[in-house]
Amino acid sequence: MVTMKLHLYLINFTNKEEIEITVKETMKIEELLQDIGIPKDEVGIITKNGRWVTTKSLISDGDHIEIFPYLLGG
Amino acid sequence: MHKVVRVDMSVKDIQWEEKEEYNLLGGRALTSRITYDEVKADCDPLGRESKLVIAPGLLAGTNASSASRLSVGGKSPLTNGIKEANSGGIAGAKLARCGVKAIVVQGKSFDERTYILKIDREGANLIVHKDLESLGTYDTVAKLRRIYGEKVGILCVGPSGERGLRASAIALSDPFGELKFAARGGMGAVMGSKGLKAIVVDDEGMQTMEYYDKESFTKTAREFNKQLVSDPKTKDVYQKFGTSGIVKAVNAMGALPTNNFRFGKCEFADEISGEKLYETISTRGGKGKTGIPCMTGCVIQCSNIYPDIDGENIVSTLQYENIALLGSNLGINNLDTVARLNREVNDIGLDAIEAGAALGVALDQAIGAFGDEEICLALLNEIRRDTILGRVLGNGASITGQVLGGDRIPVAKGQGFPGYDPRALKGNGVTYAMSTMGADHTAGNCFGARNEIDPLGKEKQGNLSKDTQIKMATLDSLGFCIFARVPLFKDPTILANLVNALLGSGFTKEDIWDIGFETISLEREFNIAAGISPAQDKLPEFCYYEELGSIKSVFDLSEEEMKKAIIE
Repeated sequence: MVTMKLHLYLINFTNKEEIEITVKETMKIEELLQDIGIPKDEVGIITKNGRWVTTKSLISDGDHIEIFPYLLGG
Repeated sequence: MHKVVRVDMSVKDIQWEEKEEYNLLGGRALTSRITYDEVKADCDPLGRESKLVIAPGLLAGTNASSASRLSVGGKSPLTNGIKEANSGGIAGAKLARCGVKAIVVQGKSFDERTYILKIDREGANLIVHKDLESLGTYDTVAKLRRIYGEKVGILCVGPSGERGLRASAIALSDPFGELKFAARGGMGAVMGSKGLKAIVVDDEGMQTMEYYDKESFTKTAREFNKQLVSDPKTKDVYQKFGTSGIVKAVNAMGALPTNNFRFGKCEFADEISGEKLYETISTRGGKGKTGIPCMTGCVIQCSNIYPDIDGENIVSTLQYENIALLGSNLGINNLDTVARLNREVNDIGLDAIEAGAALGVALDQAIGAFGDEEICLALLNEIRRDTILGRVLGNGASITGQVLGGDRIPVAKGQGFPGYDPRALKGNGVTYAMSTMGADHTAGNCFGARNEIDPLGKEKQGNLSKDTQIKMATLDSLGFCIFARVPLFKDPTILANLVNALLGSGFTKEDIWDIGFETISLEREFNIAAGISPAQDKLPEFCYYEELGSIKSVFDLSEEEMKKAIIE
């Protein structure tokens, strides 16, 4: 089981803040985003288990993923 | 032609000068150019040879959204190099409409120390205002608005600026009399050292802007404004959360300064997040409000008023940097306390980042416990009361660390780190160490750079910082807000078209960035002449040795990588 937490307006794409998913062993984060309907252009920072990763990062069972929209610092 | 107003505080003389060579320069490009042309690089930044240069962005006063910021520059008493800080507020547009290209404040007043410079349709005048002596910024602005009318634009310093404390900022009034800050680099100390307490700008009867091609300008501006409005982030993120929308993201990537940059994550990030800020403002109501423009005509409207439990105004605007430096960096776990500290910092007239960094260093040296609101307020009160400890803290993080001891002083080139730990966002580490501005995220913030580049990686950071620095210096020169950058970076033709339609110039989407490049090149030359050598292109030692929290990262970029960010 993989848990995925969405932040700010990304929640609008799924209507859920937190999603639990069973994943195929070789799945990349970008595939997962596509599956749940979050446009790639809207995605900014992604963390996996508290570390920054790209959309190409592979997901394994037990991972905790957080997705933040593309935001700007002040 | 817009003119340069030269104010000599030593002899109280004011001259209006035509400077054709400055025609295509504005904002940071102009403050840095005048500093380069006129200020001796080896002068005492707080002495009589130093100058304070104030210039509206090139597009200020026009109807392009988010483009009327005002730059203040000169030699920084913190970095001892060239500095520019810019801010929203209404003075930028009003100065442009009064036909002012720049104000150069030089010399030093040795009689009275609380002069105000009044600029209006009659010209420019210096007036002594003894009633403003040692007055906080809030009362100063309120009083000046009562005397000169609510529509005037104001710049002023607080008591810390009057005393020449190096962490001092310059406050600017917004359309509602709330305050914004040209905060970084201690430019408030430079202004105060001149004996200039405030500048009041009244554009009544002066509201004409000359356009080379007004029709074309209005068309481009309208399309650009429309793009900003139609971006869902404007309404869903910026108007609700302002800059504070990034608190949780910065925390998640481990870059949120916590307890004097000892940790990059804090367990109470949710409590000081943008989401919490919006929820609190919405629930408490009263004077609390989000979605406020800080410049007339801005469609982004990211300012807020943070209210107390009774709905009374504590501070405007509570924003990311202030939450990071006065919040998590001091171990403060709630927004009410951050807001109260922010109010005090603003009123004394300090840069919230520098003040937060200085307090963090003090707490790290066991002057008090992290998370203790009372001690933080007491330390700020030391600055207000002008005690010896207060003078130490008010001179910024570097001096505080040197006096109180410790080897964890989060500064680069004498200036306190902003709200991104450079070990977790290495591109910003490059900017802090290599840019002409010292540790200043606004000089080239790699957060938000779409993060295709690993913020913890050893590669591509130099070029990322360099590219961002050039682009930011360009926006700083045109008067644009950092929040307007998405459509502008995507299609720089907008920038070129706006400038060309205003001034009849021939910029293209390729060479518009030369404005930033050339500005930074001049700044670098000034800094070298001021004695800033490559030996100062460094971060403090702890960044190279002390692993940051759970991500276990140190700042480990090669010299070669760092040098890629040099702009000359």
